Amino acid sequence: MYYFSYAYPIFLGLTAIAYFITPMKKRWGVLLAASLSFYLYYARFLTVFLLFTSLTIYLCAIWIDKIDACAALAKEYIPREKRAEYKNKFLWQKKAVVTLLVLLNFGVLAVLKYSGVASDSMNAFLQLFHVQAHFHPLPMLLPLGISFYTLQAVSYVVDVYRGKIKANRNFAQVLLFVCFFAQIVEGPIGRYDHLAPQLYEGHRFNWQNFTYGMQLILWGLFKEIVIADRANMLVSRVMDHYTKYSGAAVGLATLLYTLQLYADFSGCIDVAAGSAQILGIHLTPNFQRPFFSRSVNEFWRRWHITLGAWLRDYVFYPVSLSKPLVQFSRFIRRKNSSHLGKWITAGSALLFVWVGMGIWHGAGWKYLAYGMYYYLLMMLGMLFEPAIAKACKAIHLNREAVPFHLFQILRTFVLVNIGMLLFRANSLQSAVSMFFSIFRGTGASAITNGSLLRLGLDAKDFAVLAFSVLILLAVGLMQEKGVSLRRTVGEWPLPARWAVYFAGIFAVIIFGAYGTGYAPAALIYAGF
Amino acid sequence: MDKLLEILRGVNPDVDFTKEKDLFGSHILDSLSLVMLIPDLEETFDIEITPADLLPENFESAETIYAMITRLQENG
Amino acid sequence: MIKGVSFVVLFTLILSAFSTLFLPESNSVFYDNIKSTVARGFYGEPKNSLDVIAVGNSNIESGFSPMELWNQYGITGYTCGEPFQNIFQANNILSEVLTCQKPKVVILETDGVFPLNDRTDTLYQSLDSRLNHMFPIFEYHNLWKIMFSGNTAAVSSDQSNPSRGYLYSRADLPFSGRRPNQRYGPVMDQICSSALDGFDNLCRKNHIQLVLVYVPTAYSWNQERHDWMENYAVRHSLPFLDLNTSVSDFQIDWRKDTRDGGTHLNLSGAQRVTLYLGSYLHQHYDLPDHRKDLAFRQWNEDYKRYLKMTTPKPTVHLGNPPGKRLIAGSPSAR
Repeated sequence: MYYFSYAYPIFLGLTAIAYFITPMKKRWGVLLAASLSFYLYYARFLTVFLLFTSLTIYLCAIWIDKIDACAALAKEYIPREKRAEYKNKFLWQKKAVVTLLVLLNFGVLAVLKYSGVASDSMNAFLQLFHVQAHFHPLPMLLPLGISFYTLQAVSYVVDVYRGKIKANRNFAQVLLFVCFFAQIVEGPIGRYDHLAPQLYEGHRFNWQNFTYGMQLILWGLFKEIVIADRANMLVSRVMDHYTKYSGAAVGLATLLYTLQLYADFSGCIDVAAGSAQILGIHLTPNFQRPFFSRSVNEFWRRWHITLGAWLRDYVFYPVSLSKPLVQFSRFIRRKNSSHLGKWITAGSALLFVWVGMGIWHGAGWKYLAYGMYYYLLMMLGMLFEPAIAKACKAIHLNREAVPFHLFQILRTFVLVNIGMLLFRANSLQSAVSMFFSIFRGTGASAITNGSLLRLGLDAKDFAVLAFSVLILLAVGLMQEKGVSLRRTVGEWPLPARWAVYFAGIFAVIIFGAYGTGYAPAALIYAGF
Repeated sequence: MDKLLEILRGVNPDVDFTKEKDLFGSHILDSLSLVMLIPDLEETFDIEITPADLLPENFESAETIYAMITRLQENG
Repeated sequence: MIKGVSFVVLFTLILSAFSTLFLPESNSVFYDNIKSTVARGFYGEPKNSLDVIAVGNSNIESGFSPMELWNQYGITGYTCGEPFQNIFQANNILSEVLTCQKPKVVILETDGVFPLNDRTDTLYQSLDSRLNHMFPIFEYHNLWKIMFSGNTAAVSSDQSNPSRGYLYSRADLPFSGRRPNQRYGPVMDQICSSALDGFDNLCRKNHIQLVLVYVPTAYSWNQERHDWMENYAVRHSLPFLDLNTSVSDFQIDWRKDTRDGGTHLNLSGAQRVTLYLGSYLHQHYDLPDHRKDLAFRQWNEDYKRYLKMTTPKPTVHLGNPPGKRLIAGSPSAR
C-alpha cells in the first residue's frame, strides 16, 4: 500500500525524471501533477475533501491578508485616539475568519472520522429512554491523510493570521502544499514557512541527495518489511484473540507491538523523507530515537514530533495565553505562588493538548483514555518532581549518573508500552483486561515450554527480530553520540560502501516478511 | 533588563541567564516554563504577548527576550 | 552515471546468484510460507512420465483427481492447482513442468484466467509473477529458515505426491441452489488475455494439445465468462469444455458434489469431473494406457494408498473435522 507497492518505485522514478528535466521554474508543477495523481489514485472521489480544504485555506488566507492591508491603511488615516478601537475591530474580523476556517475544516474531519462512534453512542443513549431510533453511521470513507493534511492546512491560515507568513495568491501552489505526495499518507505534518518554499523552488539534481535519499528509503523498507510486518504476525494473533492468551504471551505481544508501531511509523516516514530528499526537499524530522527518552515528557518531544509541535503551537500556546486562563493563573498564583500554583495552571492548558492528542487518533473512549493516560503521567510527574528531587538529595542519589539515567529510560519504556497496549487494544475494556492478564497465568513456564513459539513466529523469526533490534539500537546509539552514519559510510572506499548497501538490500529481500504466507500489515498511521 | 533577569531567575534559580545563549536548545526553557513566564512578563512590562510571539528565536537568551519586550512596548 | 549503471548491473548479478541459491532443489520442502509444494510434485515423478497436466486455481486442485484417471484409463496425469493461481502463475508453473516433463495434453482451468480485481491489481499480479519467475529468490526467500538450520536433508530428495496434486475432501455442504447474479466488472482484461495467448503459444511450441475446461463452481462462473471463453476457444480452435453448462452428458449434482456450498468440489464431484474428462481425453487424444507397464508399477501402489485415503474408515475421527485437509504441507484453502 502506498509507499510499499511495486507501483511506488516506478511512480517515484518517473516523478524524479520528469522533475529534473523540467525547467527550474516549472518544477513545482511536476510535483503538483505527481501528488495529485498519487492522491486521486488512492482517494478517488474523496479527493473533493482535499480540494475543499485547499480552497478554504487559500481563500481565508487571502481574506486575512486583505483585512491586514485595510488595517495598515486605516492606521495612516485614522486619528490616534481611535486607533485602538479600529485595531480591535480588525483583530475581531481576523479572528472570525480563522474561527470559520477551523470550524469548517475540523467539522469535515469530525463528521468523517467520528460519525460512526457518534451514531452508535446516540443510539445507545436513546435506548436508555426506550426510544428505538437508529442513526445510521455514514459509510466509513476516510480520505487518505485527512487527519494529517487538515492540521497542516489549518496551520497555514493560523500562521497568516499571526503574521508569520504572507498569504499565497496562487491556488495551485497552496494545493501542492496540502497534497505533496511524500507527506500525505502519514505526515510529517509540515509547516508552510519550512516546507512550502522548498516545494515551489526548483532543485538541481544532487548526487548526494540522491544517495542519501535512497539510503533512507532502504532503511525505511528494512524497518517496515523485516521488522514491522514480521512483528505484526504475533501481535495481531494475540491482540485480536486476547481472551485466549495471558501472561508472557500478552506481555510479549505488547513489547512487539511497540516495536511494530515504531518500525512501521518511522519506517514509512523514512521512505517518505527519502523520496522527498531525492527531489532535494527536506521534510521535518518526525522521530528522534524516542526510546532513549528519560521521561514520558521527553518521549513525546521525540516521538511523532510534528504532531506534538502542532499541538504546542496551535493548542497549548493559544490556550495558555487566552484571557480566561491567564486570569485564572494570576488568581491561582496570588493564592498560592508556589509549585502547586504553577502545576494547576499548566495542568489546565495541558488538558486541552492531551484531549486533542487522544481524539485526533480517533473517536471512542480508548483514544481519549490514551490521551488521558499520558496527561496523568505528566501531571503526576510534575506534581511530585520537587518532592522526588528533595528525596534524592536526602539519600545522596546522583540523578545525573548513568545508572539512574538507565533506570529512567527503562521506566519510560515500560510506561510507554502500557500506553501502546491501550493504543492497540480493540477497546478500552480489552486493554484493561489484557493488562491484568499479563500478570496472570503462565509466566515463566511459557518461556521455557516453547508456547511462545506457537504464536505465529518461530525461533528464527525471533532471531531476526532480535538481531534487527540490535541494529536499531546500535544505529540509535551512534546517532545519539552525534555520528552521522550516512556520512560515515559515504566516506568509506567504494567496495566497502557498496558491500554495506548490498547487504542492506539483500537483508530486506531475504529476511523480509513478504510473499506467500505473509500478509502485509496495513500502515497503522495511515488509518488515522 | 534587571527586572527580566529577576523573573527568569524565578523560573530556574540555578541558571546564569546573562550567559546562556540557547535557552530552548539546552532545555532550560521548554514550552511549559515559557507559558509560566508570560503572565509575569505581561504584568511587569505592561505588554500583551500573543501566541505569534512565542517563537523559539524570541526566547533564545535574555537579550532576545528583552528585544521582544521592547518591540512589543513600542508597537502597543 | 557509470557508477549508477554498474551498481544496477552488479545488483542484478547478485540477485541472480542468490536466486539460484534459493531455488529449492525439489518440492519436498514442505514448509510454511512457501508456495504450494503439492502442486510441484511433478518434479518427483520420473522424467517425461506424465502425459496429462492440469493447471489452474483451487477449482482444479479439488476438482480433478489423476488417480481416478489412472484407474479408469491408465493415463498418467498431475494436477498443478494452487489456491488463487492466476494466468500469470499458470504460465510460470507450465514452464516449470516443461523442465522435466513432456505432457501430451494440458488442461487449463479457465476460472483463474479471468481478472480477480481491477486493472492495477492485474498489473500487479502480472509483474509479481514475472519477477518471481525471473528471480525466484522473491518467491523462495523464506528458505533461509531451512538453509540456516543446516538441515540439508530436507532439500535433497524429490518427493512425489501419492494423490498427484489432487486435494482430497469428503466433506459435503450442498449448494443452496441459486447462483448469485454477481458481476465482476469488465469480464476480461487485456493483460490477462494476452497472458492466455502466451500460455497457448507455449503449448503449441511444445506440441501440446491444450484443452480449456471450466470446472463446475457456483459462484465465480457466469454467462459472460462462458461467452468470452467460448469465443476465444473458437478463434484459437481450442476445445472448451464448460462443465457449468450442461455439456452433452455431464451433470453435476450440487446436493452431493461440493464440500463448501458450491465453491469447490469434493471427492464425489472430482470423480464425476475426472471421469468425464477422462473419457473425453481417451476419445480425442492418443494417450497410452500404462497400467500394465512395469515402469509404472509405482502408480498401482499409489492407487492403493489413494483408495485407502479416500475410503471412509469405520471409526469416527475426532481429530479431523470435516473438510480439514489431509495432505501434509498443503496451503490452506481459500
